[in-house]
Amino acid sequence: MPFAFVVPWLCWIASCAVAGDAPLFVEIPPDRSGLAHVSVYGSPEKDFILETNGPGIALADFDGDGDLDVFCGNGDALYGKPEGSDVSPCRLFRNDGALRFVDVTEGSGAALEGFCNGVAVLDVDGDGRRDLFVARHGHDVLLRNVGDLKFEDVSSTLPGDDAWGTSVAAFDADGDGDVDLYETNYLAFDVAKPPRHGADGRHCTWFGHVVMCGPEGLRPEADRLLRNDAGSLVDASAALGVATVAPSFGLGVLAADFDADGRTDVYVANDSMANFVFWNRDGTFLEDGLAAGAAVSGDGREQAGMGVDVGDVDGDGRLDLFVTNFSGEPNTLYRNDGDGFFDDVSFRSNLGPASMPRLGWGAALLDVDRDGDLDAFTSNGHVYPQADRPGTDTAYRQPCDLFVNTGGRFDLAPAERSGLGTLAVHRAAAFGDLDDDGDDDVVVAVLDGPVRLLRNDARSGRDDDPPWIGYRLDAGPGNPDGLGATVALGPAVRVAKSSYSFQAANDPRVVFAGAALAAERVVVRWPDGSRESFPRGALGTWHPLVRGEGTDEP
Amino acid sequence: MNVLALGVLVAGWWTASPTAQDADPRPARAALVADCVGLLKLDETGAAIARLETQLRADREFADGWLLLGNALYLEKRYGAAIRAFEAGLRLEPRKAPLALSLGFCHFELGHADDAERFFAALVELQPDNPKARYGYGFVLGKRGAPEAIAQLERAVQLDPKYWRAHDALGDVRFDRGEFAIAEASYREALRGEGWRPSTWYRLGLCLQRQKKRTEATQALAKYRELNELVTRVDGLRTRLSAEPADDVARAQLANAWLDLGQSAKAVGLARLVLSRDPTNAVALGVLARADAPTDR
Repeated sequence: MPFAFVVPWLCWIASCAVAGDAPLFVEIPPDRSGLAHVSVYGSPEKDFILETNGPGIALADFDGDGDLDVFCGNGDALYGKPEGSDVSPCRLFRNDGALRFVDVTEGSGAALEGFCNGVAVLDVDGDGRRDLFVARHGHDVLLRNVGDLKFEDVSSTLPGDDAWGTSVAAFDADGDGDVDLYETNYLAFDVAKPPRHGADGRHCTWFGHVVMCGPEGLRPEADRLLRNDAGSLVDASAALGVATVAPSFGLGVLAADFDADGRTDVYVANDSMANFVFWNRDGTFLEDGLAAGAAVSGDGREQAGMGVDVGDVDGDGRLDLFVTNFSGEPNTLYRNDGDGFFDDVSFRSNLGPASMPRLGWGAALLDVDRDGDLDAFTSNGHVYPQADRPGTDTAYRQPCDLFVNTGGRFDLAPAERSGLGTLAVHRAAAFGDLDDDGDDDVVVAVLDGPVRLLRNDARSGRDDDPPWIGYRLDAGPGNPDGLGATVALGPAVRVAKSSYSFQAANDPRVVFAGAALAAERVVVRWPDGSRESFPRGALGTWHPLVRGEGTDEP
Repeated sequence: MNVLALGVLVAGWWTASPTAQDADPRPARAALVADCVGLLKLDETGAAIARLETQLRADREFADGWLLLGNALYLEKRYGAAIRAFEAGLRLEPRKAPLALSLGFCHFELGHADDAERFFAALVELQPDNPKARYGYGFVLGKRGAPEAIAQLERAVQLDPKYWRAHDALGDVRFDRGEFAIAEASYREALRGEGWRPSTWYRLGLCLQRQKKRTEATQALAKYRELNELVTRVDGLRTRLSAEPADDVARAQLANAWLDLGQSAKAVGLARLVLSRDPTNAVALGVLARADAPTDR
């Protein structure tokens, strides 16, 4: 271990007791941040399932200035809206540094209307600018980035699909170097004839309370895989094997190389149905989640999966899966045992029990406290306003949760430590280092409420801040963020990924902290399976890792 | 734990409890218990809860009533309310094992793993030769990854070799330790007695996968899918009946689903109830015919 590294790290370890008292997250109100956006997602009564999932959020460097800008989705008021509220379109905010944002929606082309759900960021046309795909209830939207935070709507080039799109994963499905999309679709919902209790023989109750109908009893819709063919997204669901599965209530999706064979696989969280594991076999996909042990809970129960993330939580070099679920179900941690097998360790890891009363949406495995291992963050809130009635063992408004990883055991951080005690009907959460200080901040959507900006204070300019190092990957034209690359620094492994959590696009950069910083070289396995190594670089800053500029690794 | 599985478990505890119907000197209580056990067997949990709540408002010193109410609430997944009922019963009879057992499982379902473990540990100390106490304790310890689970579960099956759920839980603990061949044997033993449990087939399938017994694994997972679909259907119909107790169409379908799961006594009871109101109900008649039961309406 280099001496130059050991000294600052030991100093940091010694000072942790003091630094450890402060809340890890601090909310920055809109009047200070400028990130002012109130979502309206149907009526406050939530009589229909279409009104319940909330909008998506994207964090991405849309203007190419190196920091993360913010796109906030919104909903509609088909069946009414909260009193005194206005339905604004989706909004785009420019990051001016130091957590100050400027609303640049007007004239940007990003002022979309309708139920704007999942978002994905990718460079569709290979011009080096990050474009934006928005999954909606109805026709999806593709916004081509033409520079200066201006977008051109090129949705007419998309294959037709009027399904209810939810989350979207951007990744290189076929190994051709550009980025494709997997879009989860939820269910068939006719706005002209919404399903309601008592109509058409429907019984929609929960703990004896009449609630909105669905998803059970409604028709699930098939997901789709949009392949990037020289800048055009074409529906390749059948060609690539995704259409072989029965339609399910898809809500969350991510892509990563779970079996380390050099090809990017896909995991889909379905609501109240078995989840999918699509193994990438030479560019076509084979679903085998049940045999892999990651389709249902360890005791065989189909769960209501919402958000998903992937990361190596136990430091064995393999990518584990994390899924947020419905109230009464634990959030699920699937440990990757290798050989294509996962094992549900939700209870053994202690992640499950404390999440039982929560209905989780946003999900992230990230090193919140910068101690070198991955913690778990969830954004929570119920779908039923009736959850506040007696006897449900849960509540409509819920806090976000932080589970701190200590040697593979996850403990729910008390609110005074996490700073996450505020109750709200949270939905999508997007994660990224918005102030470039080396820790992950969070933007959380609130159903029919103002979006929340949570600043991570694990690093806050103190002398005893934990050391870190970050990397921006660039896999070349078509994949400027190196999406799908696996990065190893010493024993620690991270994935360059934007699409995880729920209906979110996140910071694709990777960060290391803790003991990994002792390594002298960082090794990247690019999405096509090739490997390069690079010098680690100086601590406390971001470094580019550009494909072709490193040393080939066997 | 699967609600369906626990339903059977709870019914088992109840019929095994000597104090439930024999020791209570008050005929009104005994009659109520008998009625409510009958209602629970017919998935009439809502009706049972209503009757018990009414009785317990007037007769709060009725420990078996609290136990039965707690069990009914448990079946409805109203764990918080069930805990309050069990606690009321325990205040009256602190040494009543079924109350402590049920309380432990309620806490587990709510994510209160420490509380669950505490209840089961206390119960084992109180009744070391009670296989259910050993099972409860071993179950929770196993879920938490504690190696002491094995001793508890092995003791449970030693005390009661036909304690299928304990075999199943033992399989889980062995599986988690990577002892797949031993786990397979435990799962197969559990399925010998309770072949209708999808979760056991699922775990067996995974166990076989890990041992690269691909053909057997595929068969086990196919069985899981088949049974899981039935259990999902049962759960859905029970929820529907809970909301609409007069829905005899759903009740007949539920009878049919129970029969598909091999629970013929329950299926026949439900079918007879339907036929008492609608003697020509084809689904219910079909259930009785399939169950080869006399149609003594």
